[in-house]
Amino acid sequence: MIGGGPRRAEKKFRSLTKLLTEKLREAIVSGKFAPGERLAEETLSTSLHVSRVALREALRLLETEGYVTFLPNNDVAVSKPTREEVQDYYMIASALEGLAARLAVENAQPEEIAHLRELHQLLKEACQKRDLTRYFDVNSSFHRFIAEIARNERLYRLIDQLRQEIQKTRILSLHLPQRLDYSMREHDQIMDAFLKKNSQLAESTMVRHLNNQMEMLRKALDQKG
Amino acid sequence: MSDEGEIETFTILYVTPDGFLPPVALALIRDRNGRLLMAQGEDNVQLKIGREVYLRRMDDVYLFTVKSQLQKVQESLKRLLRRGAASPPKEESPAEKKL
Repeated sequence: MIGGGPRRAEKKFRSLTKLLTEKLREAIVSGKFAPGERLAEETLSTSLHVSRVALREALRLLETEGYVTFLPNNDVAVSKPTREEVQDYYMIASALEGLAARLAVENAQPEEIAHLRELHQLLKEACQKRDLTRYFDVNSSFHRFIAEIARNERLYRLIDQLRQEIQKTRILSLHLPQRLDYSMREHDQIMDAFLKKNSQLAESTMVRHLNNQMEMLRKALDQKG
Repeated sequence: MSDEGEIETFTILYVTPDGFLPPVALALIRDRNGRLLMAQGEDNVQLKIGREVYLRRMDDVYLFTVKSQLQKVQESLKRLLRRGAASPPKEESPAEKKL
């Protein structure tokens, strides 16, 4: 930021794609680009002194993270999930991930539980630092790992596909910092169920966690109108 | 491998193999150790013989980025991030107003 206090050391980028991806992500997260706003590639590439190819590569990476959406006519817009999308995705996700949690408790090896605990600890650290972006990334890894150790390849693929769609809702979650503490408590309950090797509890806490997330996002969408 | 170098010579491909979006810049880069490497450009603008570049390796491919372009892009992005909060989405390109 411009203004008083010592200047922070600039992060030295050596890759154009990395620079574009990180700074555009920052622009979206900080609200410089609003949810639903179209990003005109030609204008953006001219003003940033990059070719459209280089810009597009960065935008594709942001698409995989859920920050932007490519529209049918090749336009790009900042992701803005609809109420119906949120409801549909999370209803399906809660059923599938609940099942995955139950199977994971039944099938997980001790070293896999240990890894899950590590991910849980990273979540705690991100929550304490109020680092929403980091929390999302670790949260994604936490849920994906549970799906992996469920040892059902088809279930894993379905969850993975769904999670990629759910990523778009992270834009909304960024404006709900109050949800962070609730989310963390729910992850504590899920982790607790794993440590107690209680598969039914793991399933029910996972379902409740995703249903709560769905409700919070729907309220946020209702408020924005 | 040195992670910096200089463009010895370059070419731009407009007809590219599958999986490569045109145009693609290919250059021979002289690294700081004096070795000559073939590298693909992260972008195809601001290419000039003698320009300084950053080099990195991704799998089996060397990639280069022109230092002066990176600086320019960084400055442009700083201006982008310094502008006020986004206005509501409009029909005309919103990015035009902000940059």
